[in-house]
Amino acid sequence: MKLKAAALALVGVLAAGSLGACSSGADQAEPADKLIIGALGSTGDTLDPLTTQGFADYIGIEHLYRSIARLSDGEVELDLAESVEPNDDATEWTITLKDGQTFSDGSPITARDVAASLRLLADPDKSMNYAQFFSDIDAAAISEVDQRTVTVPLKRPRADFLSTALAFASYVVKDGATDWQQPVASGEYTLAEYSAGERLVLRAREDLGEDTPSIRELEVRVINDPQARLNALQSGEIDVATRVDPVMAQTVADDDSLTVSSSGPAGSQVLGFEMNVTQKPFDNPKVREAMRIGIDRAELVDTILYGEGEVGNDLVGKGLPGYAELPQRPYDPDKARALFAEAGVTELTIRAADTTPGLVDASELVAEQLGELGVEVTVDRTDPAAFYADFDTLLNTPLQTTYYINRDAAAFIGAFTGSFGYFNISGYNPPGYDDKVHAAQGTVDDAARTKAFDELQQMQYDDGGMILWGYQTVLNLQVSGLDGVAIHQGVPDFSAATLQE
Amino acid sequence: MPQAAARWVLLRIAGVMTTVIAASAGIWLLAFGLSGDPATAMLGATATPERVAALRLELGLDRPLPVQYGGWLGGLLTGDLGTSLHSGTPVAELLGPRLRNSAVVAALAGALTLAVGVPLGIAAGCGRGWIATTALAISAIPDFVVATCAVWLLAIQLHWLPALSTVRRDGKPWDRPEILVIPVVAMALVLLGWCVRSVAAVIQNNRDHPAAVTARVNGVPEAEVLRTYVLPQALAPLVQFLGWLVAGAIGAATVIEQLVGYPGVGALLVDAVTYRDLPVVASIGTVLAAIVAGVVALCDGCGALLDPRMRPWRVR
Repeated sequence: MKLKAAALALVGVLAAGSLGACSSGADQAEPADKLIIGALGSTGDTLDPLTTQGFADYIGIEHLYRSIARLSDGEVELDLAESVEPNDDATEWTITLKDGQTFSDGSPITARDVAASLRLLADPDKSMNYAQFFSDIDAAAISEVDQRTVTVPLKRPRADFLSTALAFASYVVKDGATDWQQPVASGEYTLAEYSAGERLVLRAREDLGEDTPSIRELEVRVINDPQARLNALQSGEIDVATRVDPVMAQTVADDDSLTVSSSGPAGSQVLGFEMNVTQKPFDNPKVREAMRIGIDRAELVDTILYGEGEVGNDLVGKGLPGYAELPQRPYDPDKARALFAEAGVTELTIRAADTTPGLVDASELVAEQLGELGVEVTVDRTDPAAFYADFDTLLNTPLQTTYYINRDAAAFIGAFTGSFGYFNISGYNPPGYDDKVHAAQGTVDDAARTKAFDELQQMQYDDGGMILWGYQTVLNLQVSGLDGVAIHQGVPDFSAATLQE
Repeated sequence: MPQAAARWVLLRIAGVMTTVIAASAGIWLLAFGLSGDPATAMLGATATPERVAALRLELGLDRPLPVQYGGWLGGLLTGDLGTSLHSGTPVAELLGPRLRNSAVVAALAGALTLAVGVPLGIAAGCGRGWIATTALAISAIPDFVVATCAVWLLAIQLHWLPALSTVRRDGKPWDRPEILVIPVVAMALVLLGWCVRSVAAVIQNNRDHPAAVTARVNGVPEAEVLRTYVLPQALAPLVQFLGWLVAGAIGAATVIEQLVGYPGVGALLVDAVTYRDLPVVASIGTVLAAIVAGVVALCDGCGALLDPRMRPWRVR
């Protein structure tokens, strides 16, 4: 305490001396039509919606491009499209655009632009982020029926094409767009300035009439250190700090000038473990059950997520349509102890990496919890950057940490499970599973399709290898007085927001 | 004698170059030992085996490590620092403005440290023991704590200064001088304790020099003894200490720059390590090693010029 006081006193003395030269300190208050947002980014960012990884870029793209359809608070919402309809067997979809929509250069948004955008999204060479979600599109056969209508033929029936592909990502760019840093915007804002890894400035379009956003200028500043984002918000230099740690959010909980906005489960990420069902001892269903009921999920959520989240039920998609509401997995240490003993399991190793913060700590806590059940757990820490690099290890490790971005259950099953899965880390793939997934995706009747996906979720829940213990909500901190911020898949959208100073 | 001096200078230059090359090899090995794969780090959650393999091929990561190192070292010797794997920008282009920004903060912090630290160090060396104790205490506070306290007090509580020290890419740090205060003060505080202790030690060592003792016995006032006998003796070790101050400043910069978002070389290094951007990590590491080795050698040389006793080429 003395040290700190001495240090602070010295800081004060030195600062007072050095301050003489500069009369004004922090930035002046910004007018209410400008908003400054702090976000992660890097100098390798490109503003290319098909490949970017930077969160600052995602915010820019969210405002520069509108979509055919999108997920808003977990519900599918048509954006540029007036209708998106399948044919009878869901092998061809017809997209009809709303009338009178324009790009920022004044040209109308036409069927040709939509067709070009879909071909881009599905192109595996260009669309690193999204191609796998559009792999069933027959890109060469996309055709323009008229100015406002496009037909999209598929290689196989996909009755879930709207909810799991288009709503997930369907940015509309101008036909022939290649220079992402000189974008022609279909969204509410145009790009005024872009400096990768530093800042981007967006201006509200003037040609939208009453749809012109109230916030006329958005500046996204790249601030990579979460503490630095919070400091900047507290000192009044920025208005929104995206993605802050729950601990940091708690330190400002009693500050009336700041508000915490939470994504809710729909925009969260799911944290957990993958048991490989083809490896010992997890090839034994009793061991899998022991793991599922022997982990105290509530304690994990309270300790690792500081209560900013919800207990998971081993499935992805909570808070989104199509999520199977199965009975919450109980915490039953006595039964788990008996099951472990019966199977003769006394030792386990968790391969753990903070591919998202908290996974290693969660592993340590689970090691303690299972230790009380007579199972000695070793946590084998791995470098997060190397975690997915070694695929042999990834697909052949009995027990390891995992996390998923929360998305529509059907989209998750289609993209991450079975033998066509992006990576099916748990190795769960019983005979006939792939066919069941394809059949579900091809079921046109909504109720029947929901039921088919419910059954697939039940299979994963009963026999699969995922232990998803918690949904971690994404927290943004913002100045009080900022209202109407929408969140699309975790990315804030300020086009309908208002700011009162 | 000049011949011996010239030989010493040449040997010292060769020594610096050897150190830098050895350091660069060490940095390569360490960077490789990070075990993260740049291709995987860049692709993030969208990595698949095929995509990682393709990107590794594109980035030349499939070549054996010695070949990659050799190619990079060959470029370095011809003045080419390589290209960033992550952004595709030449490393020299990334590094230039960052080095300048860091140098501005380091120079100001160094000047502040010396202006405050040398007088305090002399006082401590002359028997004001509490100063040395306080300096020891301050130097025990980790740099991120110092920086965090500075931001909390000056930016968040008092609103005197911005919490963020960002500089526009096409701008200069001195366009808004107020952003420099927090990083400079934080770095100076980190270096101060160290400076005071080193100066105090040098002064103590020279206080009891026979000439000083004789002067004291002859009734020369203590201030006069200090000015005439102790300080000239202490000057050379002090100049040599300056070289190590630069090394300390570089260490503190990586932490402080990150916390205030200052676009210096430390923040660039943190970014490059995150993305396993080996050419950038290796080039920054090597450039920093060269700066430290060069400055230390230069300060040694200056010390030798100032004090004949410290000439390594002196005939004993």
